[in-house]
Amino acid sequence: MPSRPTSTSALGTLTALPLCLCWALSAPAQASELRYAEDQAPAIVNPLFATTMSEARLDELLFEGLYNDNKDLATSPDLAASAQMSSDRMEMTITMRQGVTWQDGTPVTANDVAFTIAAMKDKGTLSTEQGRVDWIDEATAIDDRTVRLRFVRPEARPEDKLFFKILPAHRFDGTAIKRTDPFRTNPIGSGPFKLDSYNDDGSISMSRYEGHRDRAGLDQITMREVSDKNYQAKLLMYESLEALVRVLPRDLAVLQSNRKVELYPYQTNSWWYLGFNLHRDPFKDPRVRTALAEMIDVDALLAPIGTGDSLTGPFVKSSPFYNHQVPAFVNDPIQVADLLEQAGYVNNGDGWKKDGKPLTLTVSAHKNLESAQEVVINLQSQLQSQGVTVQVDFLDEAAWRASVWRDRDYDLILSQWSFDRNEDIREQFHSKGSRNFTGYANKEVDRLLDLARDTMDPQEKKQALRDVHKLVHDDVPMVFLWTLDSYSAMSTDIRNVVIHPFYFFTWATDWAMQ
Amino acid sequence: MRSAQTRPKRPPALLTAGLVAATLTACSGGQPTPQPTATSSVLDGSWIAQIANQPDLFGGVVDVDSRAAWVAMHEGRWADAAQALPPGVGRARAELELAVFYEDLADLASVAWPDLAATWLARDSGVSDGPMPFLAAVAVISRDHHADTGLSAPTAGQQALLTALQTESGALPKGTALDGLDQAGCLAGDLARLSGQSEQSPQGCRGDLPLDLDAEGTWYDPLVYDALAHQTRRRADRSLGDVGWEQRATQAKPPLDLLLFGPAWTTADLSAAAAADSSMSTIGASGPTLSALHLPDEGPTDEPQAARERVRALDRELDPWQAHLLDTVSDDGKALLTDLQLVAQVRSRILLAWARLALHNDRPHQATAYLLLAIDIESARTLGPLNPPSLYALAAQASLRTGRTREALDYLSVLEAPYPIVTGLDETIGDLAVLEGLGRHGDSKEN
Repeated sequence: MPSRPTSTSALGTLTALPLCLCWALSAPAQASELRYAEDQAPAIVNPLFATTMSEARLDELLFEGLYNDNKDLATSPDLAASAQMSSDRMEMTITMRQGVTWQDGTPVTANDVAFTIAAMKDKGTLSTEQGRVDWIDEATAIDDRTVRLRFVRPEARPEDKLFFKILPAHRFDGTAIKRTDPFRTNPIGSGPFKLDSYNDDGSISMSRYEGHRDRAGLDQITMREVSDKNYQAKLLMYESLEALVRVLPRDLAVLQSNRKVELYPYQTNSWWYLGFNLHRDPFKDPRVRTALAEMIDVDALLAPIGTGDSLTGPFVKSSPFYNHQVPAFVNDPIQVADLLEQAGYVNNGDGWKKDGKPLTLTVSAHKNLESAQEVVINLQSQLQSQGVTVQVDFLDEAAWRASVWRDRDYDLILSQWSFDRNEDIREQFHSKGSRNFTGYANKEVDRLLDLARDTMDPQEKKQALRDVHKLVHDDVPMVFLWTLDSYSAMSTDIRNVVIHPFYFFTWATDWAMQ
Repeated sequence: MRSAQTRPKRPPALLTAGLVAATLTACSGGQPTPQPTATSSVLDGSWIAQIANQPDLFGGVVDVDSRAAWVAMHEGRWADAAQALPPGVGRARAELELAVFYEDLADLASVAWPDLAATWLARDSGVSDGPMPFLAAVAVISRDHHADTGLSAPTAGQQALLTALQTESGALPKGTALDGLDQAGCLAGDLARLSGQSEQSPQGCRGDLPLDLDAEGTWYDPLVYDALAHQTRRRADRSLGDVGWEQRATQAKPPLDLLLFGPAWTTADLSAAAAADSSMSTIGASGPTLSALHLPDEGPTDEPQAARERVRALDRELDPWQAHLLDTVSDDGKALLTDLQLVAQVRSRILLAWARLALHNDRPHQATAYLLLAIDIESARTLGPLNPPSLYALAAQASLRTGRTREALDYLSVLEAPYPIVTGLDETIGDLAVLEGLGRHGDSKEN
């Protein structure tokens, strides 16, 4: 049982006061209000710094890009109205949609597009989104409604890459934007919903932006942080929520048999992993990493938390890039001992030691990662039974960002990556990747990732990424764990629901209350 | 599975323990017990009511043939059932189910291959060395040939593909471990030969694939899985004719083996389905029993909400009827209903038939809605009584036709182990997914 959330969520407080529950849980939604649960509230509302799925989902309600997916997942104009390509395909001139305004009433202009691209490229911004515009050499506002993009090299379908969210230039002082910029607590977008308030209970209230061209069917949307996932299904069944973004596997059966709830697959090509800090001893040594990987019984860790596939590399099994020829690590005590002895360790019955010091590691996990506590405790047990001393550390959002993203101050992390349908792992495994916080570097992997990015031959791309799968498996910067079946749940009171396979809320303007 | 409460109602385990749970229950007042509707009494004439009320009838069917074979039939293992059952109604039905499944794969292929070729052409990527673009080219050419529009005046792109077809037909994959691909390659080569685009079958092919292009009275769309589908269909049609199912359906006491584990409630529904669609691929989609339930129609457009409302209306009839049945039958009857999930199974098959019809009627979003409400999520990665093979083939097709190419692969992956022939199709759709993602920047986030 995970520990009680330390946040001030309404539920966290109320569980200690059960007599108050009836009032709280039966509190009806406002007219045409959708209340959805996230395990973890967005730490920041600024698309430049979105690193979690909860942030990406919220951004989808508040902000817009030049282009977006239509319901058939074809690229279609959003803030753009039309575009023309130069004959050498090095330039694209985009005419912006007329009459679009920011939620403070200011017109959205071409200058906002040029500003956003400049901000993403600005080295002072420190955004992990920088890679999404590095193919654009320059963005110039020609007039209020016309922006010209010049590319680094010819582009076949640049509109497919212009999905990133556009920011209001007038709300910033310059293009070097800090994560701490006041915008994060007072965001203004051009999307169909606007942020009204951060509430004391950790929830975020949004209401329909009346100035949006597509009038949303819902009046209000409220994001509620329910960090103890065990309660989320109950809140939905008892109509204190209308949507769960991800259903705990153990709740699927009860929700599926509930006629007031509908389940939708929300497979975001996600996989869990244990990531080593490759800058730190003894994890610099591939023999130690391999030995530890071989000690881990992945299926035994998976069994208590849900159904899914165990993996040998950085793709889910149904992916065209998954390399089915790569075998899983096998727990062979002799081979494990051999590897550790080669690395200088001895085990005289009191655990593995090198120069008298025990082989020790700390497993860190985000406290809001579902089922993380169960996994970490079982992992601790597995490794300790094989002579490794394991400590565990559950980090809150601030500590996670500081220790993992900023300072790289950890031994082994348990986490999960989610990918859109492109399954682009470049940022995680390229030596220059913005999300490569294990410190992994392999020149051949870099070459293959570059090839996969640049080639126009799908067979070549497929083969390159299957080769990457094998290489990263063999190098063991991570122990690849599993992908879980993932579903969202929605009250049948919400009509016209179609969820985007990654961003979830892309077509939320169509949703309406029964 | 939205179960029509077919499996023993799972107690809200999470709700039974602890003070919080008790409080929650008190707050809600619980779910009311559904009452049978006036219309749902029409279901009392169904085969499910028949065996629930007279459980001995069930043994009379399954033990006469082979219990293991009927277990396979129940679990949607059509090939196993067809093999294990003696000649007769049961075997003919299993063969029909298998034929319909292969036709679903053929339909999927007929969407996937032209999509791949068209996307390839649109990307100006040319034809690479791999077998899939080549086979996709064959599909496009074959489709145009079929429509009498293409080959007399091929477009520049088609001409390029045609040239590739002619020059590479001897270089088709052979000796590969991919059985489905091998067959696909051979079939594509034979098609090229038969349509005059090449002079001989590809090397390594036996040249004995059942290509009845000229057979009188047969419909044949020359795409890869159709060979298998066509062959299986002919066998099923022959078997159904041999057992004289139509006459048997009109007997005063129609035999239970015509209906058991099938989507038709009564023989009248079966006869109506055959009259509406001679391929009998949409049994369960309509018929006198469903008509009597007065379900809403699907609306004028491909809106998923209308499909959902239709399923909810069906559930409003099935739930109370089943609850009432469980209250009134013997323990043996109850055991049959719950252990075999009979009502849920028929519901799932009806939704499947609706989805198939929706796809035929160019309504892939509605098909998706039906399929998502049909699938038993608890065992979504395995085939079974509520998740028959066609569910995954249709879901893959619906995904493909709504732009969700990557999701189509998720559905196909369930079929790959039990049906290795799907491998070639999986590779084709995989190539399409990769092709669609070329030049895109992917997004990734934590958690």
